[in-house]
Amino acid sequence: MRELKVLVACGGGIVTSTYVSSEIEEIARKVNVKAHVTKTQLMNLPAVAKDYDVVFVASKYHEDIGVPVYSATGVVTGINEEEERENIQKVLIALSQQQS
Amino acid sequence: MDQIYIIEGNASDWREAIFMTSDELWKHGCVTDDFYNSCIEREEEFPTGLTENCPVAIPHTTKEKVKKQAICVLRLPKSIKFHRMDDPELEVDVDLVFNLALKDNNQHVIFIARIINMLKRPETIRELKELPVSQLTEYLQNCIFA
Repeated sequence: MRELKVLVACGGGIVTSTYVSSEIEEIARKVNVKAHVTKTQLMNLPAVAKDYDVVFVASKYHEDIGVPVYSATGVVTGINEEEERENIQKVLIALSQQQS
Repeated sequence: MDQIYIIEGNASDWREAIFMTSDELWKHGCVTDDFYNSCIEREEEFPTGLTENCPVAIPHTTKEKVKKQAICVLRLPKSIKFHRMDDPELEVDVDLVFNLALKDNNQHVIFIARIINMLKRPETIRELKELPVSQLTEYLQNCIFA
C-alpha cells in the first residue's frame, strides 16, 4: 500500500489546519492507511496541490485545482462531524487502494 | 509557561472585540504592536466565527506576531456577530472570543486540539458563560494545559 500525500488547507494555515491535520493523521492510523499530512494556506492551493493525492479544506473552496478537494469543516465546528469523519475515512481508504 | 488572560465586557462589533483581546495580550508583552492589525486583516479575509452550537470565535494571526504564547478570552455579556469560518457569507452570534497568540511549535498542536475539542462540548460552553470570571482562569487552565 502506497503512502498517501494529503494536504490540509485553511485560511491562514495555522490553527484550523493544524487541528484538521492531526485529526486526519489519527483517522488514517485507525484505518491503517499510510498518510503523510502537510498543512498550508488556502491561497497556496493552486500552486502546490498537484503534488498531493487529496486536499481537505476547513472552509469553503470551489476552485478546480486538479486534485480532489473535500470538506473537513465539520471536524472543527462539530456540525455533521460524524458524517464528515466517515467520508474522510472512505476517501483515505479508496485512494490508498488505487494504483499510483 | 503559557498564560490565559480573561476579560469580560461588551464590544460593539467583532473589530472591537479583537481590539480588546489584542490589547490585553499586548499589555502583558505577549504580542507585537501590529498583532491587532494583523488579526483584523486575517479575520476580514478568513473569519473565525464557529457555529450557533458553539458561539465562539477564535481570531489569531501568524507566529511572527507572537512574543510569548498566550490566550486571551473575552466574555461578552451581550453577543456580537462574527462571520463564520465554514461560510464567510453567514454570521454567528458570539458570546466568547478566544484570541490565540500561538507559536508554531509542537506544543501548539496539542493546545489547539484541546481548545477545539473543549469548545465542541456544550457543557463546557455553558460553564464558560456562567462561571464567575474569578474561576474561569483555573477552569480553562485545567481544560487546556492539564
